[in-house]
Amino acid sequence: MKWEYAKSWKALAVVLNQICAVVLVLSVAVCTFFAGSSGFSLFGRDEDFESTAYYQSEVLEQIYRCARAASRESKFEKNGVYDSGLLVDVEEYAQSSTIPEGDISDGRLYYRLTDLLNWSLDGVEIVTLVKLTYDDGSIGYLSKGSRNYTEQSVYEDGSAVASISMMGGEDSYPQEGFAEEFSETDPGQETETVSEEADGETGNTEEAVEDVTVDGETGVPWEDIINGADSETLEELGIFSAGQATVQNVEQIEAVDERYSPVGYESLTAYAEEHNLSTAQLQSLYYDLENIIPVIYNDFYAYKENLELFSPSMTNMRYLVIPKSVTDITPEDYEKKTYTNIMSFGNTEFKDRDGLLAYMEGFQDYLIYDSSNMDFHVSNMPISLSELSSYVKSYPFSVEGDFILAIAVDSAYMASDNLQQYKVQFEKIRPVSRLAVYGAVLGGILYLLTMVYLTMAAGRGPEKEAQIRLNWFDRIRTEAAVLLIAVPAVILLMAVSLLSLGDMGMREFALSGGGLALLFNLLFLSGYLSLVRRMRSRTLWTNSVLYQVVSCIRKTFRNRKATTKTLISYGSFLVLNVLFLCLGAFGLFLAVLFDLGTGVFLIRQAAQRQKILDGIGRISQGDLKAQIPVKNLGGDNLVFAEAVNQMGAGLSMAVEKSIKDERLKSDLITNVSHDIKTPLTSIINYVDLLKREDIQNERAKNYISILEDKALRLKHLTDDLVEASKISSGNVKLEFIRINFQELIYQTNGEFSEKFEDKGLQFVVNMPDEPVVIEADGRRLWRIIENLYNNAAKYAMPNTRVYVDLTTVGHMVRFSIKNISEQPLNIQADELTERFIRGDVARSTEGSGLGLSIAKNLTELQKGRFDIYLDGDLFKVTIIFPEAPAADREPEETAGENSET
Amino acid sequence: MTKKKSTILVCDDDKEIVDAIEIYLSQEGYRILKAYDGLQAVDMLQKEDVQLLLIDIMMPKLDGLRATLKIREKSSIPIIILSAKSEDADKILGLNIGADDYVTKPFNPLELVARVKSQLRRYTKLGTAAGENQKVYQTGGLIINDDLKEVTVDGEHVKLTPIEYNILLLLVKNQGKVFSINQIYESIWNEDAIGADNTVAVHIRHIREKIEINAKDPRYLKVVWGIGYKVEKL
Repeated sequence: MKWEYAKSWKALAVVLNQICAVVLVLSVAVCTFFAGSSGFSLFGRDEDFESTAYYQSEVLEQIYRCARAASRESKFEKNGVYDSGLLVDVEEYAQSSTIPEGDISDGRLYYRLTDLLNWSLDGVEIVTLVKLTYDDGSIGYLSKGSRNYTEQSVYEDGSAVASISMMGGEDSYPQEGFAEEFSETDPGQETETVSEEADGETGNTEEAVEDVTVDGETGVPWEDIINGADSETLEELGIFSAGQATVQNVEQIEAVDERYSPVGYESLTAYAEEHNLSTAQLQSLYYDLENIIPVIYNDFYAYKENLELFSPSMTNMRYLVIPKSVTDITPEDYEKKTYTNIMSFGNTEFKDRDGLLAYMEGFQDYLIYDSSNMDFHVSNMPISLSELSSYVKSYPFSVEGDFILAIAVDSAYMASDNLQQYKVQFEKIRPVSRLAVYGAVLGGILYLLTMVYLTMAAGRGPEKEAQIRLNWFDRIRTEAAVLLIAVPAVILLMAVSLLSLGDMGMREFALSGGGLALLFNLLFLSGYLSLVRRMRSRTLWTNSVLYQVVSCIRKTFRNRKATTKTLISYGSFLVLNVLFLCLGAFGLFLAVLFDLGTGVFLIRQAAQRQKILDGIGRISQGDLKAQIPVKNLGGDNLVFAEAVNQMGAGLSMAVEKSIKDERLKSDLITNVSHDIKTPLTSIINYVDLLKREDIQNERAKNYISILEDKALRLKHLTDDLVEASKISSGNVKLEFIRINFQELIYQTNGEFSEKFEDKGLQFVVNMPDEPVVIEADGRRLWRIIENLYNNAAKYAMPNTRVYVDLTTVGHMVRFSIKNISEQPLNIQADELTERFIRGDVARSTEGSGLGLSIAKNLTELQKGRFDIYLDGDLFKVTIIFPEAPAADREPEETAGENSET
Repeated sequence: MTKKKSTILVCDDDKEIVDAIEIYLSQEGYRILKAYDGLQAVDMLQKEDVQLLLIDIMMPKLDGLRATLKIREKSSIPIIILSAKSEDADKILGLNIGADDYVTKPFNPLELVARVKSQLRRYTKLGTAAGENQKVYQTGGLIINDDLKEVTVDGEHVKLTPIEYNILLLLVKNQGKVFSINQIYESIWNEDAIGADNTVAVHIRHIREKIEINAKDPRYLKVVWGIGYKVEKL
């Protein structure tokens, strides 16, 4: 029994796991939030909202924005309200972005704010102004073309992105941009003349300018035309010449098409005339004007926006800018004397500036800056003087003289801004933050522990059986199970993203978040444990739909022919390569990888095939027991190798069996012959004894001699039978030595001389003089020759010659014996040597009939060739042996010993 | 020769063979004892005074080879194995464990008698062969007395022609050494063996037929096929 895997323990673990999951998730959520607001430093401490990192950074950001808003307010408000009649000093605004209270009498260039705003809305056109200086000192201006400024977008911080577009270039001159400006240094009659002339020449001018334009397009500069022209041409061009003065100097100015006039002047050029401005000064004024028009527009609208954004109902930030000159302020007139977003002071009464500042200092967090002495005091705010002054410098206040800037956070948090919202969340979280830390740590540990336990216990029961237990969920297809888990999990995750701590109380958060965590963990746990069980029972892959598909494909693929397989593989190789190459550079990389992989695969296949080839080679060379190691083989190669192994094993078994059968046959014959020999011994002995009896009956004597004859023949037969079977089964041991064939023939002739003489047979021996040496087993070779001689002695026609020839052809030794047969040879040559095997019916009456068979088998055992040639009555046997390599040592040795005797 | 009849024990499980052998050996005047298995033979040898044992190999109770081994523990009498097993390996085994001769069945009765006689002579006349200061050469039962120009095999005189005698003397003098036909010819005829033919081989065969019991299975003068002839050193 494995009690630790009992059901009750598992159930307990699951419940514990769920609880831990809920605790963990909630705690982590709280901790994450808390860490986000306080930067981990306040964990578990009972600190104020104002100490959090979030508060600090948010307030810093708000200080910056307040300074900006106050700066704008100081620009556009007079006596506490927006002043539409504000005069904007172009140079001042361009330089410092301030709009100090202007006085038209100081001779500076002023535009009305409303004019500038409208100008911005209408669009600013850039024109080229030609300044003509005459020799009499008078100056004339000629406007040449225009460009359009189009307002594109305005950002909140007031910076504008303006793009200049060339409206038709210099080809299409807008009619109104054509106005010719002319003024005389000497007003009076000449002015009239000019206007008259101008009126009268309008038609001409148009033509002339068009000509000029043509010239301009061909690249001829204005200066050349005007300088080189006589007065008539100038007149044609519409340029006043009046006869008394000629153009001395021509300068170009990039100007703005003046839709709105400066305060007190008809135009900017008029202003320039009056103040006797140089060309450069006029140009810089035009540049300033061109620059400030979109900027002031943005500035203005940012101011309008700020009025709303910084209303007390929208922000908990308070700002206040008091000019240093103002000292007496009461709650009644503060709005006129200061720039502020404070709407009411509640019950606070104050009589002067210090009182108002004291009100600001009454807030928990505040900042007061005195520009006169750079005095800076601050409650608890994370800002330095240098930081603040950099803000003030980038957003200067349009205040005469020095000022005091005060910014405070209204800790009543009446307005619902970021600070207030965050404070609400923070206040909710703070009481549970310490709990959350413990919860996260403890929950995490317990969760991990229960997870480990459940992982170990998954699929295992209290029984000791090794089988993994699967439930219905573990048996459904892997993909379906994944879907069953994943889809609800995704839905839950989406639900989680909808949760927000700000929208609900702690209780609702705990309930909904905890509930979601519970459900999610339930899903996760069941999915995870099922995964563990599947892996443990090895059904994760085999139970998947993908596996079914893959194995189906594999099966069909496997049952294809080899050529089809190769075609499919090669086809998919090509298709994949093409697909990869279609993917571009990354595809090329993939293709290279893929091709490399294919190469490696092919090389491994080839290596495997080489193994198989080696194995086949070994088997075909006779090592039938050789087996191809199939360990690292796969696919077709495995099938291949196993088939070869089986063939080899089969072959080996067959050969072994056949050898065994031959041995058995030979043993059987040997044993049988032993059993025959024993009674045969008695027969021969008693026949011999009978012969010695004094028997008078001649017939009986004859019978006895027949008995003796046949008994001896039987003896001979059994001997030959044993020998033949041994030789044909290869069951003989050969001892090869160097043999002098001639010597053997002499010896044999000696043995057979009388036998041949008895039959009147005559030897005719032809042999080479030099010794003929072969390697053979002497006794077996003698047996061969003896059988052949015996054959001749038995079957040769009496009184004929028997030819024995020994020749050496190449490295082969050829022995042949020829005789004339006494009986007609009505038999096939091979039948003579295979009677033992075939059991041929045509048996001879003499001998065993096995002599030639034994001779042939013995010859072949000694690597020789044995041929029988029959031609009519000519019987010829040829034996061919390879000649032994020359090593003529033996004859010398024996010769040496001979001399001793 | 008839001083005392030797006793021969014949042991074979085939009774007819034992009887036939008894007939042949009795005709030569030997006393015959008969046994039909190895145990019986061993028993009889302990009880009786036996000069020679003829024993079959394949027998019940105790086979011939084991019996021979057992007998050789105590006795050195001549033992001739008589067996249907005709393999070289069988013969070598039998001779190696202590038998003196090996005759395969079916045998020629006369050959068997000759072998028995040969073994008995050697056993009973051991060491009486040679006189002193005489040129005597011996191998086994073959003795050549060169002074008397006399050849005896197992004590029996053999008649040889002068050439045969010289050839045999050459071979016996150099026992164990192989002589080719040419060498023999040159040393006997004292001339070059240019037209050497089968003369020497024929003489050798004649000698074999005279001194050997079975010329096809010679004990003394052996043919080394393809090389020459030699006399075995025994």
